[in-house]
Amino acid sequence: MAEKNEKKQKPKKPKKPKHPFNWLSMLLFATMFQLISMMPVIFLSEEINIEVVGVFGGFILTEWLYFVCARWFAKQRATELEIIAFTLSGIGLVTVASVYPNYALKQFIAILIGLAAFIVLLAIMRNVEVISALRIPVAVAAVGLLCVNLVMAETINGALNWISLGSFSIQPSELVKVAFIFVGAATLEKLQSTHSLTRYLIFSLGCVGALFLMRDFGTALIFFATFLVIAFMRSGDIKTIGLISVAAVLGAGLIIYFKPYVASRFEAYRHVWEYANDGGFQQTRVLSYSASGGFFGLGIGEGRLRHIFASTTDLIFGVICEEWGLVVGFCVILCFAFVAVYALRLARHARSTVYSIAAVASAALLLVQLSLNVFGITDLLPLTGVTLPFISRGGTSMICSWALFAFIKSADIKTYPILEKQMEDK
Amino acid sequence: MELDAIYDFAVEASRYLLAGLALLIIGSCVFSLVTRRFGTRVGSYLVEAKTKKRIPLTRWENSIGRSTTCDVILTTATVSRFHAVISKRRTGWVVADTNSRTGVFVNGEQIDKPVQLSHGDKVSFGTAMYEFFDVDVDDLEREKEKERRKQARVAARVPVRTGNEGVEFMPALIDEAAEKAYVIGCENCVVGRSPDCDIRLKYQTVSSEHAKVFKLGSGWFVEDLGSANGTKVNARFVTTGRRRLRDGDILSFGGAIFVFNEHYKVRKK
Repeated sequence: MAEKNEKKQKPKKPKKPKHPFNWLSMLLFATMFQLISMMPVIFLSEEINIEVVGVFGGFILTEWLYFVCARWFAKQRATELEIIAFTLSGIGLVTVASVYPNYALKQFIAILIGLAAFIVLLAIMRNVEVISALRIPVAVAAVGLLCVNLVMAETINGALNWISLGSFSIQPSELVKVAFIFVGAATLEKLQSTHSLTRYLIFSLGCVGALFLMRDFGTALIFFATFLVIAFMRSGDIKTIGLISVAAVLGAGLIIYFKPYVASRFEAYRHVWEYANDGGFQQTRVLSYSASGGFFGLGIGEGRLRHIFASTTDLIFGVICEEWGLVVGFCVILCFAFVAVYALRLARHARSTVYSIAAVASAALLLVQLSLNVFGITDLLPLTGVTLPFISRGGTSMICSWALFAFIKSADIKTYPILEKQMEDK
Repeated sequence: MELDAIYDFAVEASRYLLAGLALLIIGSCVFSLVTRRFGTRVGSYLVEAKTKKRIPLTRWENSIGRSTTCDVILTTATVSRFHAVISKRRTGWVVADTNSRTGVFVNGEQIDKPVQLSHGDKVSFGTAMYEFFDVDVDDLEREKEKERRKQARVAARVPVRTGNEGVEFMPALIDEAAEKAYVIGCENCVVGRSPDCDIRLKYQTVSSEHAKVFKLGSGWFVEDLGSANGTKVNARFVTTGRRRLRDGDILSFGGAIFVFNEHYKVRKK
């Protein structure tokens, strides 16, 4: 009896709230999703492509390695963002490998570099002091990169934004996206003591102007939208931002008035069926083929949109809708919506305005880019030729997407368990 | 043929499985976002010097000023609209002046670059005076104080009383009316009016050699030495033999009344 009483009196360990979806189950879901999607690609051809199999194996191995390290060694307690990043990268990798098996390895290497950039940026973003010290060098480097781009870039697909480095080429405007947000983020102390947007406005004008000169209007629009978000978060000054927006619209009108060739790029907009065989070729194909996919798709490798030009870059969302189904396509959009909500919630409790601005601006940039891509190919917006983050083929775009996720993740105190512990111990 | 059928079935099933898994992944992410708690924790306080009113600093970076958009709104006229920022950094709490007109002073010195704040520092924004109060340090100090008191209590329990060095306890007869104590200095003590007695009582009713107070074993006793007016212990005459004395007993020699105190505090010689 006495023993029983003693047992009763023993203090119970506080039970952790039970979570039906822990990181391991989420990782298992993601892996299952990837394995199922990879199977048709591997068995599609008569001969099994060893390189593609190796790339898929490497991808899943990387994913597991990352999660095990992050959870067990780095003791991170929130890994939803990485689940999303790996799932989206997986969709992209499988689609690219199914259309162009030769590009699979390149895409996989891009994912690896992106992951490395993600980890490095997380380490840099740990301390506010380091960010403050790096802001000006990064701004100078970004402007320098754009200038170099203007001087020595090659024109590919109408835009002058590729620098060729030996066997591969990079797109500096993608890297500048990361720098743009990095420079835009500032501590509250900085924001409150300057109260002016002038310096950042000049930097932004430089970036957007260079992009206009490169005729990369899609990216220029993304930069402008991101600038508006950052400017609002920095100053909260709606009047100035309204003024800037009006000026931008007027400027764009002037450009179209004086340079009619710019407008000619948009002439098919809202009239794609009238230009079904020239200006609206891609949009009309996306609309009809993705509709034929239905809710659950035709099956990977069974679609016809894959034979259209730029099917793995600009039109990849159409390929996903056709072959993977509307449900998966919708989930891709939901993933970005989730990231945006996640960033907003993190921003309200971030350690500094640096993280709030960086996280919200990154989420906004990703959302704008997603909208331009998805609405562009479905003719709701003019087709501007921007990539779908994480999914489209392209190394620099992939690295940029991972880096933007690092900005969002760094706003989360759970990313830095050591920091969190230090704060509690002190 | 059969293999083909299985393959076709697998392809067909995979279409639905993919959609289901995609929904499951995004659903689990949304679930974990919804169930996650983003708590705010009060990091420190500013205590107003005059009113002792506490203003909590609930964020990692707190803007301080007269503007209503500030986290901490100070209504003093000398405070700028955006006066200063107090932020929690890796090294601790830091205050920075954000181009205010009247300046920020830490312990009376004006600051021109961010300055580390420690618990108890006096911070002034213009003429508004505050004391900085770090909750973590405050908790720590409270904890230390508690520990110190506990140790003191434990230490006090080991010897019977502390603070009694240089003091000894002796039996004594205490005249409460005259607030006078007669210490019983020997083990065989004669009480009486005569100057030869160990305890001399100058009362008319006390005989020259009235009674004897003596130690036997560990106890004290009183014995009447044939006095004229007799000796009483607790209002009863000691007639023959001796009577044991206990602490607080009332002794009467003739009409002179005393209280027996066995442990009377005497300064050591």
